[in-house]
Amino acid sequence: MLKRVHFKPSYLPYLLVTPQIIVTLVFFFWPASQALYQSLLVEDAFGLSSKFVWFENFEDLFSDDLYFGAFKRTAFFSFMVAASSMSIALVLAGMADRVVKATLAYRTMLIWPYAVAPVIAGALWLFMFDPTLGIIAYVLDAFGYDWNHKLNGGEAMFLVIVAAAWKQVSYNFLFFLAAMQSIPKSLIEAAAIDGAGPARRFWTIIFPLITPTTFFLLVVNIVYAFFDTFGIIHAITQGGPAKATEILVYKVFNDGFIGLDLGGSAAQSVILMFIVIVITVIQFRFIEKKVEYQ
Amino acid sequence: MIENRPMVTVFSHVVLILGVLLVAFPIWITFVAASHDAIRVTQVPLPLWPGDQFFINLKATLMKGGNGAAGRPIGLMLMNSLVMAMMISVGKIAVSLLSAFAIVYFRFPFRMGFFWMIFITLMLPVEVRILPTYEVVAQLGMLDTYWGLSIPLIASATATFMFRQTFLTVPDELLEAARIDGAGPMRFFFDILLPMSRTNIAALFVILFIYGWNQYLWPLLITTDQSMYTVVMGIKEMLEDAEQTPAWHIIMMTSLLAMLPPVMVVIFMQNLFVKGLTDTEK
Amino acid sequence: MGNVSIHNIKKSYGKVEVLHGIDIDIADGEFVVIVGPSGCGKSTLLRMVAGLEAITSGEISIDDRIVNEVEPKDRNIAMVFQNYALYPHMSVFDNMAYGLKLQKIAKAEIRARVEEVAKTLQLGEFLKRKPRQLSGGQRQRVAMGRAIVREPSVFLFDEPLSNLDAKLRVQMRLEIKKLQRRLGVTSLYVTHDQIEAMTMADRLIVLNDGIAEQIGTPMELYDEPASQFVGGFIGSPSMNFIAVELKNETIHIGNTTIPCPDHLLYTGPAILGVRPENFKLPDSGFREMNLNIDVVEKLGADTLVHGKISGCVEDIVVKLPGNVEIENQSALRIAVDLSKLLLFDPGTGRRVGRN
Repeated sequence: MLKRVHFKPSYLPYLLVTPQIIVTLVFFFWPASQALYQSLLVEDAFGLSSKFVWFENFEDLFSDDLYFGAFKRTAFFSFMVAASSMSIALVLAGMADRVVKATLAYRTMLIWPYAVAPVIAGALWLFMFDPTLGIIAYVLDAFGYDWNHKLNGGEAMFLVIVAAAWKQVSYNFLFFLAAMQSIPKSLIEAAAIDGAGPARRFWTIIFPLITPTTFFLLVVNIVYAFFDTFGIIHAITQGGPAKATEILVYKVFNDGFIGLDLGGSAAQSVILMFIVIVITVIQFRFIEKKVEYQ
Repeated sequence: MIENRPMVTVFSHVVLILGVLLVAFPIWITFVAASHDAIRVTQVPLPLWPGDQFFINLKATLMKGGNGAAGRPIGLMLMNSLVMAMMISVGKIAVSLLSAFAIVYFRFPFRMGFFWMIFITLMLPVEVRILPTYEVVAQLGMLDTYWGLSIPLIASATATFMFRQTFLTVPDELLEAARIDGAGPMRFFFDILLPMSRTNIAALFVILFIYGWNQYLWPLLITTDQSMYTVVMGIKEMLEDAEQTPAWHIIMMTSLLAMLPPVMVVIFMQNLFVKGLTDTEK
Repeated sequence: MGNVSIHNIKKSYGKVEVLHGIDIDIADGEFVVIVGPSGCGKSTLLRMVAGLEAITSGEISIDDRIVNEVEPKDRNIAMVFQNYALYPHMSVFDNMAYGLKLQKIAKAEIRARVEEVAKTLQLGEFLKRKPRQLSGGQRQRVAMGRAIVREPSVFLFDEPLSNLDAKLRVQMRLEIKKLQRRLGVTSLYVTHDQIEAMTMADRLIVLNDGIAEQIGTPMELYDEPASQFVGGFIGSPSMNFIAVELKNETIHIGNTTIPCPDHLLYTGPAILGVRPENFKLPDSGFREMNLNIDVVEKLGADTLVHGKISGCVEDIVVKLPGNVEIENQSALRIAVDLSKLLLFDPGTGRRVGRN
């Protein structure tokens, strides 16, 4: 944590941390405490006065079917994004690890969607699935399927999952590949001598050995699906149709900025904060284990 | 390869090529759409082969932008995105370097307090404190400014941790040698520590540049002045207009332009990018 | 001027005292080696002279000036580190010039001084290289060069050779010694290697558990160790220790009795110290004892016989000439040079019975 050798005490370290601490206090701690405080208030319809109501906002939320629906939707969305992008990435990484000479070339061609902004990813997929113009909608139509995510909630959900997963495959691929490449070659060779074929080696040697990475990615993917997909949803569906794709983060934004329900939005923020804290704790617990494992 | 099984290798290549096609297909479609004129793009089915309007569309996009309300030159938005991305990444790196230096090389009261304050920012992403942060920025008069776009985002626990990790691997003897040579703390920081961390700084810069460039929710909240829009926001605005007057060739061209800088960074600085990703996840 | 005076120096980390009061005066141009096992506090002592470690109590002066509160850079010292501590991103030239630049010395003079030193160290052709492009021995020389260009009044060496392989170590220790002779700069050198200590030092400090067991020239320490620790630490193979009983002017070793030489005045139980080379094959039937052999090691020039003296429990080593013929025998008659016998107190380990 601290170097054995350090500089003499002086005012200097305070100066050094000042910029970051100011930003932290002004733009993180103060707003977060405001969110906490506002979550205990109710404002009148004109925003002129507010009343302290203890946990009423939270009680309202937990008895609100809409909020509960958003919760379930977020869980489903996160699970689907994590599961699909991780399994595709795992297969691709497993293959890329095998084709030794071409590994880097494939890596180059697979990792760049990471750099595409969520909104842009949304725009690309929206264009391909546009019910009147989209090339994929057209192909589906040719097979007799009438695609319209603007009306069909299930289709809308499918589309945002695809767009979100597409962007995340590259990240998962990179970490899976790195984990596989760090497995000593001698282990794989020993298994081959023991008579295990490629598929068996993958499931009995490689997959168990990369478990820490898999858990790590699971956490990262869930965080991604929770918080970093706002742009995708905002571009493709705006939470619609009929709130079919309204996940928690989108709802906070919608209720706060569009609906101007300050107390309710703040209470939702507080719940999200709580979720982030739980995930962060899990992540750090887990990373400690990973260190031990290595 | 451990054993010689050509079929397995061929199979691997087939799967990988399918993967690459799957990943690249949306970009291809974007490129194709960006190279046809407005009318051809609205005819079904969309061609799968590029047309000849690419440079015409490029010029129109940079100079004029989309239809209707979204009709503003994309050039300015690209500029705004660049400024914001640079300010965020340079800012994050600067404040994190300084705090990591203080935390690793000095013993002072509240040292761990500061460390934990920085740590806790990990648990407070923009999304969970949207409204109050907006209010703070509004009160500080930073709406519609580059400062407002960047400063609230430059605290970084991840970057601080990464630099802390980097500094901890610098041998103590280097500091001792520098002290005997007569270097004070800041001289040591600039002459020894910074040059020794430059790969880490570069790797982090790559990641943060992408992060900054792709910011969406934050600029969406705090900019109302259209001259401050970033290109990522510009896309969204065009999409809204697309409901009435679709200009998909311009939208797709804008998408291409908006993803070009970060994608180029990833492809051409791949090793730094990979290092940055893995470093910041430690 | 380059004398160093260390006066009653103590060092504590919290409640743990690691140095219990060290005193030594080092004359200008002297080469003093601090030697001891790891954890004895030798590096701490050196780092206190360098100013890298705070002094808990006592006084250190360099050039007759008390430096307790003086910054390392103002102590007029230079240090060579175990891992060399070369700045990895700077060229050899910049590594050597960095301290001078910070002293705001004119560029032309810096260049002249660095090139001069590089020439004497045969580093001339490497000045533009980075440390990672050099071999271990070359890095070692750069570290030396960095110290020399500062033209300090004292060199401090912290185990500078321990990262080199055995052969290079022997070569570098000669080079350092020669260089120090020529420059005539006072040097304080820390090592755990007693051979390095013996070969390089004008004077040695043997440190054990934060106490200076003995300070003296190499031969003083070898011939007249002040304690069992020093006796055992200096010399290779190390000194044999055998529990004995002295009475009536005889020494009882196991079931053998030998006459007590004149220089040993002692009665009662004691530890007898005998260096392996002070045994020999008997030339008369006098002062002999029986050695039960465990292993015989033929080194060419010498033969090392490991075994136990009849009636004793201690494993001992006897060094005999290389041409000694020992057949498949289980025991050997050996004699001991009575004039070289040493006695130590079994409780304190201090030397006793000295005339």
